[in-house]
Amino acid sequence: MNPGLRFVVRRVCNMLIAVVVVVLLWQVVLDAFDVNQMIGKRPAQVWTYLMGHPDAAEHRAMVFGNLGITLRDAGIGYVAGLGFAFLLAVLFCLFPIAEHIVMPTAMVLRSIPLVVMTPLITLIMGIGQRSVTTLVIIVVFLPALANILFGLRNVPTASSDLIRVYGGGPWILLMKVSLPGAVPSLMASAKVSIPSAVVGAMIAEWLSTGNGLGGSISKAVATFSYAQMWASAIVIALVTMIVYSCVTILDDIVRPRFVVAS
Amino acid sequence: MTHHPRLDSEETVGSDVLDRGDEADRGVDGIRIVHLDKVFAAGRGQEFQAIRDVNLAAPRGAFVSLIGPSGCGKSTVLRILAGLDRATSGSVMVNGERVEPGHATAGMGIAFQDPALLPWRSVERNIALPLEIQGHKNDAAVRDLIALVGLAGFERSRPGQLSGGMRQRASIARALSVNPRFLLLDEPFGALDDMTRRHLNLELQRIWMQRATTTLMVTHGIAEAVLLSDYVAVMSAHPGHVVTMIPIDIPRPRTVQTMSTDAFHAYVDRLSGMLFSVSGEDRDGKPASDSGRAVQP
Repeated sequence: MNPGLRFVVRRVCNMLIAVVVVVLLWQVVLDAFDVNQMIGKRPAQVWTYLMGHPDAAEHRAMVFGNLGITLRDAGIGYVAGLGFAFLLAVLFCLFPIAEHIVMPTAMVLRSIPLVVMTPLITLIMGIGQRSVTTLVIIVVFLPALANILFGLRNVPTASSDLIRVYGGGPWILLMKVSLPGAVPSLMASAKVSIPSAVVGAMIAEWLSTGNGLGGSISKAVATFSYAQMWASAIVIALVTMIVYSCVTILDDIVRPRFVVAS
Repeated sequence: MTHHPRLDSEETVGSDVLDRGDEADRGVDGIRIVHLDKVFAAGRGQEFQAIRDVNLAAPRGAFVSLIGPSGCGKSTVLRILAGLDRATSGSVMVNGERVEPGHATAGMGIAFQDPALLPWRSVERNIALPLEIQGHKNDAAVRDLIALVGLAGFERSRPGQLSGGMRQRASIARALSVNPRFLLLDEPFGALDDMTRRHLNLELQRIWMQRATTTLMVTHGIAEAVLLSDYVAVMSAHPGHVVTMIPIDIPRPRTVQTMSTDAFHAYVDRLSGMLFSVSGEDRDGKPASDSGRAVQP
């Protein structure tokens, strides 16, 4: 087997093991605390809801339909948030003064609890894609900005001295040293932003649009449809994990080319 | 190489000599450092004088080493020469051209103790970096340099795949890529083991003799300084001050055998003694009142 394929197979195996562990924990914890089967659905019940039930096809259509909406909501905000964070990090790197103006504002914005922020944004933006995307951007943006900025600035003194000695300015330093050097932190941001983007999207759906899994889960709870709630939660967790694993694999392939040899 | 007559005695480093007028100093314009001071702000209104009244002159094409106790400001002098730091007062000229901080000095190459190779670039692309910045690509020159420093066959290797000595070779090739008339070396072999260091010393001598580039090397190694240099300048502990500059009259090319000659040992002993007396501590380990005085004429 070639090394690349073996690498991917090993990663997939690791992920399957993680899934098995989580399913076992789910079963064991609910049984151990004797959680009511009506509310605390077990893995087998969720499986039945999605695959074995007479209306399973209908259930799947509903859950996966909502999943599609949530993934779109999270995806748009994720890409926009990361892109925005990257552009601003580059701007701060070239013009440090901008950081002192923007950062405190961003900090305050991020410190407002999301349950307060979401209705406020909805009032300003209206119910719809714009308010969901705005919220996801707010969730993703600040940690990514801090992380990418750290990566851009983490330039060895000898490297920046070298560029200066040969007459290179801030732009050349950015293009030749800072940007390639920030690839590992960019990848790290891309990884940690995945779950945050999903959480942000679902909160926005819950408190604002009422669409997607965030909306359907809160409605399912209100109508005692606990099997639907559990199935939705499991599906979004699984999909988040798969996407995260894919980016992790990409990171493991890309990162070694960019880290400084000790 | 021919030594300038005025540099053949130790007394010539004093500023009085340099002040005598431009007419008489034309021969020593390889490196000219005049009344150089550097004071750093140390926070809370405190100041730290790193170097005080540093004077140094060497002819074009000379190899000069700068030695001194740790923290004496050797690297500060080098950074000012490189245009990386601004002097508080005084002036610096290399090959007749004034060094201006913030402006690249044409024809200057530099290598640090940290090879600072970019890990995502191959060896050849690392060596080509200065040319790339200055906008003139020259693949043939880069290939020649790779052969010159003995890295043929490793053109496409990544720095992470090389040993410490090989990385330092690449760093020196990069310094030479701009075809420098002036070469600055900041403890280039400081992080290497003795064997590798000695080997690279002799390689550096070979390369330098082919090019006769005016060179200033900051180093901790006395033997290394004697082996490579036309002049060894000794600095006192801080605030740093060039106490004396000793011409090394050993014929080139110097070899491993050179290092076992009496002449070589005499230079090393003499410089060791000087370093000891200027290192800011007397024999009981107490700070001396004015360390620089001890060896000043």
